[in-house]
Amino acid sequence: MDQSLQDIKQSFKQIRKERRKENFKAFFETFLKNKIAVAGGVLLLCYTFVALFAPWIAPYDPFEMDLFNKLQPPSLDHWMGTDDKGRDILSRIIYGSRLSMGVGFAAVLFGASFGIMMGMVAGYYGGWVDAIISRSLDVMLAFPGILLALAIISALGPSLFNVTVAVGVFSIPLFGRIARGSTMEVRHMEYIEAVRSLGGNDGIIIFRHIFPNILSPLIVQGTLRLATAILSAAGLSFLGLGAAPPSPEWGAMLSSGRDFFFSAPYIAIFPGITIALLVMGFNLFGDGLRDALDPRMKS
Amino acid sequence: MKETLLEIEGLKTHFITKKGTGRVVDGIDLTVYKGETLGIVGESGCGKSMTSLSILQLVPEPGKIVAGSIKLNGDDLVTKTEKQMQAIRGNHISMIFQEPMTSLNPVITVGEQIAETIRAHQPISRKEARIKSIEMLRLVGIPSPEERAKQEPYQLSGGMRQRVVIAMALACNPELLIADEPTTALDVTIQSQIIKLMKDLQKELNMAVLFITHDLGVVAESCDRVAVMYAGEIVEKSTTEELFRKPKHPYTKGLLDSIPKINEVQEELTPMKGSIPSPFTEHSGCKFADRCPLATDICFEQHPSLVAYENDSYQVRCFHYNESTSGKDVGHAKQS
Repeated sequence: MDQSLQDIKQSFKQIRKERRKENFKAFFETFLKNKIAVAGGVLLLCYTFVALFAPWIAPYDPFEMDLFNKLQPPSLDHWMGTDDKGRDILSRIIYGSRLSMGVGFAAVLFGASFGIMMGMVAGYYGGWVDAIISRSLDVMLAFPGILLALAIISALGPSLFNVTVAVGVFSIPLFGRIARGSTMEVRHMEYIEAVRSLGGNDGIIIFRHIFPNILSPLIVQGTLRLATAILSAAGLSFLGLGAAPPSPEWGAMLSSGRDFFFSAPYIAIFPGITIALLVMGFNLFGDGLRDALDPRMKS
Repeated sequence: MKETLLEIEGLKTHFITKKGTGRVVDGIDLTVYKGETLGIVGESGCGKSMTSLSILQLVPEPGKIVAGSIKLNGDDLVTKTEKQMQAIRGNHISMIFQEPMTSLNPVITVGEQIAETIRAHQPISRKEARIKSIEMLRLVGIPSPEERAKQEPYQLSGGMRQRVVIAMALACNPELLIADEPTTALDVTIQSQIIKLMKDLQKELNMAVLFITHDLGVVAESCDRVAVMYAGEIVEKSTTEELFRKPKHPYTKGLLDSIPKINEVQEELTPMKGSIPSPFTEHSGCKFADRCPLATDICFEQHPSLVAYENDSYQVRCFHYNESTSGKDVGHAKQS
């Protein structure tokens, strides 16, 4: 009798364990079914790996000039050729991944933290607080992103750090609006009222209870936004507003390859392909994440 | 002999909108004594939930307490600031809600949710709070609480979740627990378990319970005294026994008549006609007059007041009730 009761209990435990696993599994399965998203994810992993281990992977010093071997086309020695100062393009791209991806991540982190903060406050308090925050986000949204970034950089002066700030600033309204909408939805849930009725203050409610509940759309948006941020940062560097010349930032490399486009197109093409692949990776990965995380998208 | 814990006097909570004023709670007097269970009964929309939210000063916009006082141990809550109320909520007065499915945060483990409530009111470490939260889970009868504490709400059944909600509410040993339809969303067997649990805990922790429900069966099972609410007013107040033995207000009678009786053969139930008036309607007479089988001219012209009978052992708000008719069918009042 006791034995069978134990058995039943054991099997119930097993079921519960499995159920928990199933939730994770459901997410992964939906995600893994999406082969294109997985490809995007693998691409991102490769880029991250390269960025992390750049010094060990890169065959040459990215700053070392070799004027005897300048403007070499791709060969076994220099897989992507050399630029006008004889620097190995592959090595420069590998090192540049740290800069370009770093700027992208930093900008999104910056934009997301301010945006989410503002959005949650606006959505939670409503009324005139919401009116002020939402209208200022609308004003920022009214500017085309890159134009706003240009304005910010012309005010702050060109540097990679200022590019990060500029790209971050024009990401703020995007995160703000998503956070605001989700917060308004969660704010009226009974569990929020329950926390309040047990003496929770606004800080506890916003950060402990609302924030984790609105995370998934923000993660998806963050991933997609990384693509835009990296692209914008490269674009600004291309215009000469970000990284200064010797720096192997991809946008800057692209820009310096412009002058030799007809004689040595590989100087510009390889950084271009690198940027395009990374942006594509983020977009595919982000789309896959959204499909797997958003219950409304499930068929 | 009986110590007063909560005293509500002339509480009016109105919703002031452009279209007019909704008198959701319209002049309520209630006293809750230490350690007792007071039931508030009424149909949906009669203002019972708003009464409880008023006590906690959590009336949603555009609602506002426009008159009256709510005294906890002689201390008026209506005049308190939000900050002072935060120290009272969960600590002196707790509340549990109807839907155990939605009154727990889906992404935080239940142990953490309990620990958080404790830490909001007591200066103890994370670890101590965790130990206390496991103790609370054990207290509300959750098996293997150490493991359960690490689980998220979706892993628990409805009854279990309601136990967790109760554990959260009782974590700081409140003097008053407001239970807003705590068993409505549960099936009958779980319902009786939860009511029994609440009764046991009430005795153990010596707290008062304000039990809000529309279910007269639950009232009979759990309450010492009952207040019947209709359209923002209390129409009858007495001990539970008295209420079921001799309902005095025609509304209470109607409520009791609409429940099937196990010892009588009934072809059909007797439902009450009509529905509760909107809080936005102006009444010069008795609010129940439109639906009342006893209504006479006076009922439409004058507003009856809550009158105490037999040494304040019960109170009724009806022109047609007087002590001489008590015990008899109230229906006779019509002819007299």
